[in-house]
Amino acid sequence: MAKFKWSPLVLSLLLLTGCWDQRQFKNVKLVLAAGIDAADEGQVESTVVITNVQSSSEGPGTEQTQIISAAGHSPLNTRTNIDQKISKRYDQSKLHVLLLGEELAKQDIYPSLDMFYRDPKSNLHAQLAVVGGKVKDALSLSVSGEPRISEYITGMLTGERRSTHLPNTNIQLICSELLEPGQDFVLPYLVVNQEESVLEYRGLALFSGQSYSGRYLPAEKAVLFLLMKGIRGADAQMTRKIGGDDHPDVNDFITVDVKEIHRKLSFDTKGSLPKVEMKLKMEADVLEYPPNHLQSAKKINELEKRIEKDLTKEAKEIIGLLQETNSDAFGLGRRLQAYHPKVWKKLNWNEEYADIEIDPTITFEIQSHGITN
Amino acid sequence: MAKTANKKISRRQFFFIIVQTQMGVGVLSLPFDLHQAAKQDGWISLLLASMAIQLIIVAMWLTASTFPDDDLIAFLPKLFGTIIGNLLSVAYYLYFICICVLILILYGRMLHLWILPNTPFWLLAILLAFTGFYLISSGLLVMARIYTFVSILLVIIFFLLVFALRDIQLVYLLPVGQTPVPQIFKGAQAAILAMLGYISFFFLYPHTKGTPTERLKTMSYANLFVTLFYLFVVFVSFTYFSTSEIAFVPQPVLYLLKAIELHIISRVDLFLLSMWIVSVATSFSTYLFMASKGVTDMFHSKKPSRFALFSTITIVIASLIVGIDEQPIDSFTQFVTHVSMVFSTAMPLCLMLYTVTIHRFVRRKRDGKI
Repeated sequence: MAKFKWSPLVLSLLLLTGCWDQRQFKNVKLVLAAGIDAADEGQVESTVVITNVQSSSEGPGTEQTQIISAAGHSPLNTRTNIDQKISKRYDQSKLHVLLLGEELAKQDIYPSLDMFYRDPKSNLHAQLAVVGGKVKDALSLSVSGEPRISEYITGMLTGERRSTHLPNTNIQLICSELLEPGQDFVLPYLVVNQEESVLEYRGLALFSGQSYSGRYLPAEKAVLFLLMKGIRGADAQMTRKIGGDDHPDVNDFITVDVKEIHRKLSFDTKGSLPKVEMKLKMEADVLEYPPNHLQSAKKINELEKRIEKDLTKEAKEIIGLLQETNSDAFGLGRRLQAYHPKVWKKLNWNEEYADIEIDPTITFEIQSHGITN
Repeated sequence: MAKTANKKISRRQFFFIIVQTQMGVGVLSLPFDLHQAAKQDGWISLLLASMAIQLIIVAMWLTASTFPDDDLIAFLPKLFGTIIGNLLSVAYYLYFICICVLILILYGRMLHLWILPNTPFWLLAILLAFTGFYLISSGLLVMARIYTFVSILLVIIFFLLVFALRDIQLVYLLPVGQTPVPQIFKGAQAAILAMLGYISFFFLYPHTKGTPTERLKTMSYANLFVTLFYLFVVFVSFTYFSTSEIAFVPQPVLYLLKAIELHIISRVDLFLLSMWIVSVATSFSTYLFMASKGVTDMFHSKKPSRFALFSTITIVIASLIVGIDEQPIDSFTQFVTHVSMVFSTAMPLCLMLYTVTIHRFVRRKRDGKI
């Protein structure tokens, strides 16, 4: 054995010194936010935001952003074209936000995402959003007080997620719903407000199959929609009108924070088309109610009934919109397949989804009303 | 080395050697392989495979306890006579070498795909093979200590996967029982391939402390542990990826960690990959150990490291010949799967049948009891 005593040392010297696979920060341009638009003649146009750090002799370096666009046949082709406009090479392994232009999203979005799924270096937890209009305009915005557009957008989306306006989405998480039949997904829908030079969160873009249906669920309905999906962020506030006439004033509104939700889905498969019954039980705190008479149980009960009616109506509207756009964002099809595989096999879900009967029932319970009555 | 050579390993060390040998290169792609064969019912295949292995373990135990002081290579000639016995030993030697080669190329391919696209395969092969060689040249006891020590990594892997639990959708496991039975059995075959290391029982048994029953128990616990660990991995992968998506993802375990970001570690998958390499190295070393032990005993040599070095070099060269392109790897995997069915499942059962019937009969006759 003595002969081999030194062999590990010699081997380490020989083998552990070289490095073929180093990727040094100084050789790349990091892209933190990128977007893809549809361009003419079936081409796509990518826009990337590159942050350059100018090092200075003292203190932290200053940051400058560079916005570059290029068209090409495919997302990766545009990347090559962008590379020809910048110094060094661009690297999207630290991507934080990927925006999809509305027109592009209306076509199949899978081709735009394929390069991310395939590349071992890509960042799959980058956030995704659909932009009404052009992505290029959104990324070119200079928002005052927000030097990095990527941080601005991720911050905005994180905020919306905490307030239950958005489900947790990233490139990877939508993939399962993108590919699975009987399950669709939603993405945040942003629009550019040129006057104030900001982006605005408008609601949830409804996808059908692999493409954007062209319609979005407005932000005020997003909370109920997510609660119906069983998702709740840090808080889930809803403001609803509970009284007054055609000329409502501030006294006619109540704001509640839904604390707990329980969902029960059941399928009735006796008829030719399955019927879906969605039972939701919500427990909420009252956050704001100016009329100020929440002492009696009777009063609270009345209020609960009123809200129940209102929410059930709204739930029906949401389901109506989903069926109209043929977006199965509740994943009802996959659940039907799971619990009634025989029924599922007989159905052509994509065609029949719009015609099935979905019946929501909401029970609403006020569990506390703050530190005053 | 002389000090440790004749010392027996404890049952705890025995447990970890079996666990580390069974878990190895297959764990990252196991959910994919199961899913390909048996769709969302792949976990049933896994349980079936585990039960089959438990049967084989009992069979191996029956054989091994007949020869309490001999390992496989030593008792084969005693069972079948010198010529057939030695032929079988050579076959087993080649089989272990083949598995080593397979481990090496699957590992090379995985690293090539995930982190080191530019690093040449010969370097990766040499690095792993010589780590294995270095490990086994210190003897079984040292190996056992290292294996026990590195098992802490399994705990870390477990906790990394726990992070994925918040994004799973249980509905993807349903409907249960929609896969035809032949497909489930096909899945079980894939699962056995990922749990192959149990054959090392034959080599470890004579060197382990404890009564025969205690050793059987420890072995069964090891198998149970591997099954449960795999079941967890399969469960997380099946529920994280949708039923149709998993068909696109050959390494689901890495892939799902790629989408998770922790505060300190931004790419959890690379972190897991580094720990997985340790697991691969341990499986590789056990097979290399069995191969070199076998060939050393066959030649009744007193210089085991010479044979170990020879085996290591053979393995590296063979793996370079097969290469890490997709086609040859697939055919080689197919080949090793078939060979494994013979040497790791059929053979232990045949050996057991032969031992408890003919061999016992002959021995009793010789001892004049009949």
